Amino acid sequence: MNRRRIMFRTGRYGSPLGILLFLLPGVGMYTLLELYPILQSFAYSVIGWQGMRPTWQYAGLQYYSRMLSDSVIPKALGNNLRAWFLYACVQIPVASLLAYALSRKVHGASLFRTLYFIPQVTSATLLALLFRFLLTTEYGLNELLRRLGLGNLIRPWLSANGVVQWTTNLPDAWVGVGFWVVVFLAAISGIPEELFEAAQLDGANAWQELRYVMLPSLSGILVFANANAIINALGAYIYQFVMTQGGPLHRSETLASYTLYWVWPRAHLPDWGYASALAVLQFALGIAGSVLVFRVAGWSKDRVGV
Amino acid sequence: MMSGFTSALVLSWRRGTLYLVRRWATRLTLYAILVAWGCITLYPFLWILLTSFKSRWEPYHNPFGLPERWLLENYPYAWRTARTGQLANNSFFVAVTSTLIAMSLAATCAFALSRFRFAGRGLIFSYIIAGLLIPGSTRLVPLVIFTRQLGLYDKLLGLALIYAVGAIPFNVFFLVPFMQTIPREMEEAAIMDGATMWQVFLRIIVPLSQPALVTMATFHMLFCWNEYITALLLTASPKNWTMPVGMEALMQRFGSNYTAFAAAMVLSFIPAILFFIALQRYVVKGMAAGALQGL
Repeated sequence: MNRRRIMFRTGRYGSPLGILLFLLPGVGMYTLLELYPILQSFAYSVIGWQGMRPTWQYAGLQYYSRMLSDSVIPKALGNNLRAWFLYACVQIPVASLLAYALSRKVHGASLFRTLYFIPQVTSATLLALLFRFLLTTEYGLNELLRRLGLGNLIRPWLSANGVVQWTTNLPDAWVGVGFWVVVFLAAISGIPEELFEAAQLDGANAWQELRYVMLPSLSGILVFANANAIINALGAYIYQFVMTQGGPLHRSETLASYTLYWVWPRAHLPDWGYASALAVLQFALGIAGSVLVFRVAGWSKDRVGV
Repeated sequence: MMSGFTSALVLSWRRGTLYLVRRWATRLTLYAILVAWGCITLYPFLWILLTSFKSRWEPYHNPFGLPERWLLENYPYAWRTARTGQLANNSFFVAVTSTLIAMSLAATCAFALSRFRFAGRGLIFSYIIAGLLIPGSTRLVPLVIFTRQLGLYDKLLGLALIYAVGAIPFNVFFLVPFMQTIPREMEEAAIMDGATMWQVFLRIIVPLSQPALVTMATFHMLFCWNEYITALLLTASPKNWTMPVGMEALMQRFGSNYTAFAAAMVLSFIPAILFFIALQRYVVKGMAAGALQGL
């Protein structure tokens, strides 16, 4: 790079002071309102609390030892795992199938793409309310099942054990499909059309084309999608928080929604010390997840040569 | 020879037909898949839309069909009871202010990081990008306490600032590579003519980064419009509620008046969907670029 430095009235172009002035607002605000609160979270998890006021007295690792005997945490992590399963084994396969179909020069492709994307731009809170609405027992899905003569499928969708754990995770998997369709489509447009033509000349059917031409060419983006699935699954909370408040009996809790249970109680006292400790746990798991993901991504890059 | 030619013709005809049949079967399957998912995507919205036109008790005996009579009365009722206008107003104010702040903070930072070489540049970049790894919900408790101390609590401007700062890592991550691709010639010519850093930034870098900035601004607007948990925790008085917070609170108030609630929901869905349809090429392009960049 040419590092010409030219004198000005206001000093040299690209002077350290000038650069500093450009960096300061962003870096300063980021430090103050993004990183500093995280550090505070760490501090809050080891000090004593009087109601919603920190005492700033070191109180040991009491909140962390409490976590060990908290039976909600395993339940919550189980639901995070379910969220991951739905992302990785339902959402991404469905999205890649749809992206393949859209890339095959169908009529109205952009209309479909726009349609699929709409849940992504609407508020998750409102969608959660909508699903709460649709799944509440008095009318909605159960009424539909009754009318279709499928009465034996009627369930209390938002409370039955073994059911609510899935129904609270499903909406987010549904929402994300549109996002991945768009991403996969962009990636598919980067695959040389000759590959598809060659496959067709060799008599490949659509499934073979999808399986042996498209998926291998998308391996890089698929790794990225699966990496995201882990991180999103760890951070999932909004549908649980709005649809069921993590209940009943913490059945549909995720780690983040359980943190919110102590941050923003609806019918009990808050416990911000414990909430902070839970936030730290989530932070640690998130970092571990990201590292794992980068490892796996790195491994696959070597292997498939993306 | 003749028969060989005929059989070849027959064979190729058969192949052709088979090929056509198979082709049509494939196309049909593709369309079936696309339409099926289209229905799955559309149905919840359609259901809420139909419900919003029904009379108060109709959903109990007719939850899924078309309204017996198409009524509009739920909309004015929802508008008044849910104060949808005020909620929309708040959300709109937060979205616009926050986007302006977010773009200014990220663009100045990205300018310094992408156009100059200085000691610690890589370090500062990583320092900002590290924010991408932090789950948003881990800083909620400190934010509630800290914004009270800073006087940002229960203020729309405070909420806008928190959103804007939260978006810095992603925006810088997105903007720096983009700004690096801007050719240096114009900048050098401007410097020769005596432009200051500020002038180069405003007159050259910002206009040339416009595609990236518009994409990010679109994202950020949608994010602010839809965000719930921070808005819930950082606002106390109902007059400062944003759309999602107000709607959640109002679901309780509407009680069993599902049709009015459905109307309120339709009213709050519409702006985001229209906004997306108007700006979708930026969203789609940006999504794709952002994700492909992640490779």
